[in-house]
Amino acid sequence: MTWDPTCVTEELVVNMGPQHPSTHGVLRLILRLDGERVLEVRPDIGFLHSSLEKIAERLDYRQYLPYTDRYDYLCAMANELAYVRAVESLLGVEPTPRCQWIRVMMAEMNRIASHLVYYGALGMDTGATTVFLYCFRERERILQLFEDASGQRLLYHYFRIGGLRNDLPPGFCEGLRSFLDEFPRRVAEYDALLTRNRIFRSRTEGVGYLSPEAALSYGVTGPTLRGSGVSYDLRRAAPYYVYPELEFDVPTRPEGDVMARHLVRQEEMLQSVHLLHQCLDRLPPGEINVKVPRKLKPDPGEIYVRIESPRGELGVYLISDGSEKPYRLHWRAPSFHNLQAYPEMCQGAYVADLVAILGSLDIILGDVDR
Amino acid sequence: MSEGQEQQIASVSSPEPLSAELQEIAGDLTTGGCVRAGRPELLTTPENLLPLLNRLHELPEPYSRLTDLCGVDWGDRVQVVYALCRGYGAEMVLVKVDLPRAQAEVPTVTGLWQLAFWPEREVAEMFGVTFVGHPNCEHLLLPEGFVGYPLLKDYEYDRSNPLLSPDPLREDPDAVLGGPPSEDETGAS
Amino acid sequence: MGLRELEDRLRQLPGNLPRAPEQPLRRWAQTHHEGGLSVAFINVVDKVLDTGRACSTWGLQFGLACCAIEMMAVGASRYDLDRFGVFFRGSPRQADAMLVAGTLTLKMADVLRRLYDQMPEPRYVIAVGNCAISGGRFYHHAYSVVRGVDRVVPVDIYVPGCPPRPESFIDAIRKLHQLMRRESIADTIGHGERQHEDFFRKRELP
Ligand code: SF4
Repeated sequence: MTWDPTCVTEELVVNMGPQHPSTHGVLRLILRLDGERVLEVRPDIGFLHSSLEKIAERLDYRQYLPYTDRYDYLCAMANELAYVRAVESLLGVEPTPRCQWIRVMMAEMNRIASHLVYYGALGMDTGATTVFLYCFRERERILQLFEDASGQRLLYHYFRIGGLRNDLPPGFCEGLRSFLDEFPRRVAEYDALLTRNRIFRSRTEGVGYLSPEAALSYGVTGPTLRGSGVSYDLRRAAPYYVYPELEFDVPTRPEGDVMARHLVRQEEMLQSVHLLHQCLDRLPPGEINVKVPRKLKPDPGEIYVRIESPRGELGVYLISDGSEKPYRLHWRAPSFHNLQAYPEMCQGAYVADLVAILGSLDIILGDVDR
Repeated sequence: MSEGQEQQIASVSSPEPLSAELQEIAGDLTTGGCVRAGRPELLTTPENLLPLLNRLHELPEPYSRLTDLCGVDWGDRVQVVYALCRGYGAEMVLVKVDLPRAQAEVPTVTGLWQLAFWPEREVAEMFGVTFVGHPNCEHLLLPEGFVGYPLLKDYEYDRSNPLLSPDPLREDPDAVLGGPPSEDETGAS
Repeated sequence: MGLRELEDRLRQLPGNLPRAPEQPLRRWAQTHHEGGLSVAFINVVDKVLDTGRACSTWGLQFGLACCAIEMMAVGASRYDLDRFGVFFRGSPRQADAMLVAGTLTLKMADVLRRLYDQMPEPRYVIAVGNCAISGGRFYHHAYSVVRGVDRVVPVDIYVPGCPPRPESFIDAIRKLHQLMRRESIADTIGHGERQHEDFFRKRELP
């Protein structure tokens, strides 16, 4: 059969999702294709919009805490941290030193757990199923520690306003230490299994380029931004709690492609291990709770708190009108803004690349839709 | 009007006056402002919004990064809040625009930052604000054809919708199950 | 089917109707043949089919929110659902059971129904998590969360928890296998599509 030059090709509109195994949740992508090439991607979101901001106005400050876990369910501790910090600054309460150290520890552990899910999921998306199983093996160990401390595997409700639910259980620090000693070796294992795999590399290198200028304009943050060569980490730029005392690097990569973002996350897991070692060494004894009134009634006012969640800059804008309920609560969702830059990264990509790029963004639909 | 509002939303750490620098930059385009917990806030009007943002954007050390955009319902007025950052730094300023609820219209800032596309759509569907010049202001998070603006304070969800209606068993178990169990029934079980 | 049509269809629904116990095949076997033998034959066929079905259950992974992460964890290393013959598929056409895990929202409701309609008979639905059961935490104030998956599709097994522990997940799978072992081809043949009336069909466990 010979090629007929008069043959015309047509653009094709394909609908991917909202129920699709590799969209990391309920995301719908409307693709306009020319053969294998992507001309346009239009994300359609809102399939997990669960009215979290409205619910905040109907409940009091303490009742809302469990909902913060459900907002970005892979890094529940980070959300709790942001919310608790916002309410405490409204109340003018400063948590005790031990409490601050434990909070930072938990947030870093959660960062590892969250990046492990990302790691496994990206492997799955690019066709390497085994990595997923390895990553979840290590993740289970962290979840076990979380469960010992808080009683829950996924959504902890461990931070309370003014402190913590309980002190660290006996054996926690030893368990964490043995995990930390082993974990870098595991990361080397994943590295050999996935990152240095030829197929994986050819699928990720040079794919999904995001320039620093576009990242600035779209408000991209977190590892996705650091993969474009901008060294911006709120733990450094606007440090909170004990981060100024801790020593860590902010890994960045100039390439701006999927591989760069992947390597940044991989490096970040090791940095978290480094941070956790320091936390364990320096964890002070003492009280974990400060006294807060039974009825929380912050003075009228507002606060905007930002922290670095595993996905980027997580902001809480909290307004109080002096009553027991928040007047307004707004989440600055890192995934929401990162996903908005997705069409930009997909320009000129092939259909098969879409999934890899999406995986490298590490979005959580609960975070996108709130 | 700004005076009264400042009273209304007085701060935890009692608001301080704006720094001389910001006052000089933005003074003529704002209707009020304060510094709260070290973070400046500027209050402006819809007409002055774009000039003000442009000016902040073109400073020698510009507030070049829009990080967040959201709405707040204050009863008779709807406020749109823009959070600007000075580059990738810790410094942040909130720019607030007050809009009357009946005719909430504000120019879009999508020309300055790409980030604004989705948040503006979100504010539009949640608060009923019209962003003049926004290229595509359809529903973003809510299903097509959703009625009402859910984040307004007086919004109540549609309880007659069969997908959202309260569960009769939970609301009034007696009506569904025919009264509480009698003495001997409980005794038998 | 759009969201509007789904809502309208639900509005017209008379209420919870029991499923008609019509078994055309069994009736036919009883009346037209030497009764006992044919019925015994059906029973043997049932046993073979049901054992096969229970030993290799392909689930449609309908993960929606936090519970979906637990569902992934159950499928992964430590809990390993493959031991029970459960294998997650992304397509409804090849699935025996739909595992709805997470918060169902208005925007997603008609998608769920459409996927359910695409599954081949016999099909089962497991509602995982409080959200899927009743709206859970979002029951009281949310304006966009469907108060339970069973308002849209019939549910066979409910797994409570927020999120449920992996063990209760595995328990649900075992319950599902019990259900499957009770299925008879006499119930399904002749029924074809399950009709509108058993929208809210409920099955009891033995
Ligand atoms: S039941 Fe709980 S864990 Fe499961 S989806 Fe709902 S909120 Fe999340």
